[in-house]
Amino acid sequence: MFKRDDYIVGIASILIGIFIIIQSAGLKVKTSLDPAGPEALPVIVAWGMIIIGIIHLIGAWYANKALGERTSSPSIKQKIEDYKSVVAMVVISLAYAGLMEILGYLILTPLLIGSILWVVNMRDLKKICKISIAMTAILYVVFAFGLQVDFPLGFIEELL
Amino acid sequence: MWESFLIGVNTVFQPESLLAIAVGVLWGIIGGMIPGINASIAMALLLPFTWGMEPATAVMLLAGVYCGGEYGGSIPAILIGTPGTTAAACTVIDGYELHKQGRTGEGLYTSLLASCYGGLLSALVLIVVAVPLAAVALSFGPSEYFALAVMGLTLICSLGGKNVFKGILAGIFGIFVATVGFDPFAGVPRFTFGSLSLAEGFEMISVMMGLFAMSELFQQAQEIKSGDEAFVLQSQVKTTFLKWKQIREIFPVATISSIMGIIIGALPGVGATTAAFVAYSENKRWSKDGHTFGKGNIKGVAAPEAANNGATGGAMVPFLALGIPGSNSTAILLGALMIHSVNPGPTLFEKNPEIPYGIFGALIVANIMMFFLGFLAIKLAIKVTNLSKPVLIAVITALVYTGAYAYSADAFDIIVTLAFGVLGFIMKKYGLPHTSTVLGFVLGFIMEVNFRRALIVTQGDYFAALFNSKLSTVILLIALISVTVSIWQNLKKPVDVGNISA
Repeated sequence: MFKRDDYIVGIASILIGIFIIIQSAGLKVKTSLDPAGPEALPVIVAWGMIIIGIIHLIGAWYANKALGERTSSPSIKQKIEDYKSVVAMVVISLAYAGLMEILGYLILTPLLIGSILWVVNMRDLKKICKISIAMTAILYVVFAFGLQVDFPLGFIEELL
Repeated sequence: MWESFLIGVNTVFQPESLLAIAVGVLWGIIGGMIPGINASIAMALLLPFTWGMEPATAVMLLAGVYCGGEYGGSIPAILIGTPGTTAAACTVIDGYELHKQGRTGEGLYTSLLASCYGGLLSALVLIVVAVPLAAVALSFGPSEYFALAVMGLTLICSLGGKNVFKGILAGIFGIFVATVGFDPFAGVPRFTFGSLSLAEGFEMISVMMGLFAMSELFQQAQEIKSGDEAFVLQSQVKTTFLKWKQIREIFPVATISSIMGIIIGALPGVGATTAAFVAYSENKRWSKDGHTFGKGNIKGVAAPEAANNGATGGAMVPFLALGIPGSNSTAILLGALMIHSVNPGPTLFEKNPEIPYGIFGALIVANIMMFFLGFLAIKLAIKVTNLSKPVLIAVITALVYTGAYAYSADAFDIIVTLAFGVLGFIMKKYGLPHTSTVLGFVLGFIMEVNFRRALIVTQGDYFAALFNSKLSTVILLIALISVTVSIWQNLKKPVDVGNISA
């Protein structure tokens, strides 16, 4: 049931549980009409997380003891290399969301598609441009005209 | 009753009614397939077009969208691991697994068959039991709703796989996520940190698309970099229809799940998503091959799909018999009727029998049409598997963010989708099932609201609130036994030797 690295799950669970309890302290609004109050469920959830966190700490300790020493583990350099594409996608997505109101959907979406294609190892620029523009056009037509969604157009809106 | 039913049948078989149902089903399937557009939104988008129609035709059009929408969500759930609607979230578990194994056809056609069967059965059952079932639905009080939500939540234990506690942890985290935003009773903002965007809580669409779609896309992007081509497919995909043996295999599962869907769908405020999860959970619990659920079992697709389409008929019960819309979709149907000055309720069956019985007839016809239109949709959608992996990752990312934005017209929801995507990715790495988090999120709100209502009724007596009736006591006991058995079975193997170096 338990693995060596479950202590990370345990610590994260306990920390989130403590965070919820601290944050719930300011929510005590019990009335005769609402005996439980708004903090009841979050506090129950928090204690549940703390208990399960402790169980994972004990379980991980037991698993490490039972399985003996580790045979091998990837180096930090290898780990960074493994997650490079994920980090790049996160950064691109944050920029997409952050710039949506300024640059608008029609400029940002082809850039989003193009940059993700680059991140996932597509290097044919002509193909990247074609896919990005064509997919943006399809999405825009479906959502804006078919489903009547108002997308921000950024500075294009001022030009129109 | 049969005279009224014949009036309904006559209304349904008018050319304009049949056309309205066909257009509705097709629009519903398309809407359901697009992440961010669920059945309710697809119905709302058609609402303005119903103004010039006869009330019965308008409602039939929307009923068609409702059926098609609930089914359509399962297609992206199976093909790209992204449920098009919340009700299809549970279908991802086995459906996407089937696709990854190259058994795409089995997944898609099981979903189509189970959905049509569930919808058809619910419509047929409703003709007879609509009015008495409405009384049963009304007898459910807060304690029973709470107990039902708890029973649905016991599924989180089995979703943890080898570690039951990870399933529970992910599930209760989902309950916590559901508490973010204004408290439903006191109106106090909880965990919003002063952000207005968080005041209304997280949108289900963003949470679900983040946990299901974005986490999978991150995983796929990482695997491309490391040269691991697990997403695969193309030439290995089997798209043939089900064998007779498989149809016989899913038949009892679909029947039981449809009945669950009808009953749960009839409870106001519960809905198709809960029905799907409860049906999946109970079938997994009672099936002989329950241990293969989650590993690509077609019964794991049939159960939620039959239930969520069974719920479409069930949801009509409180709406038609009592005038209470139990879901967003039936609220839109109510709106469509009120536009035409028709008020649903007990008198509707006497004053305008063509409307309730027309809806029952429309549901039957819609589910038959859905079978054929579903074939068409599958043939088109399956072409997705011909796209290369990098293109698929980039296009689905754009589609997910567009869907998240479209739902609320707020870029904040793109960030929420991204955040839950990263969370889902980390959860996968540590073996925490994100489906449990979605389940906790869906049922958390129902659970909290009803428990607090029960406490108000019992004036703060916790025991009385929990065990208010025989029904709530039995349901809670089943849930308790289920959790205890799961924990006990897991404790027999305390160390996971399958991942020694991890």
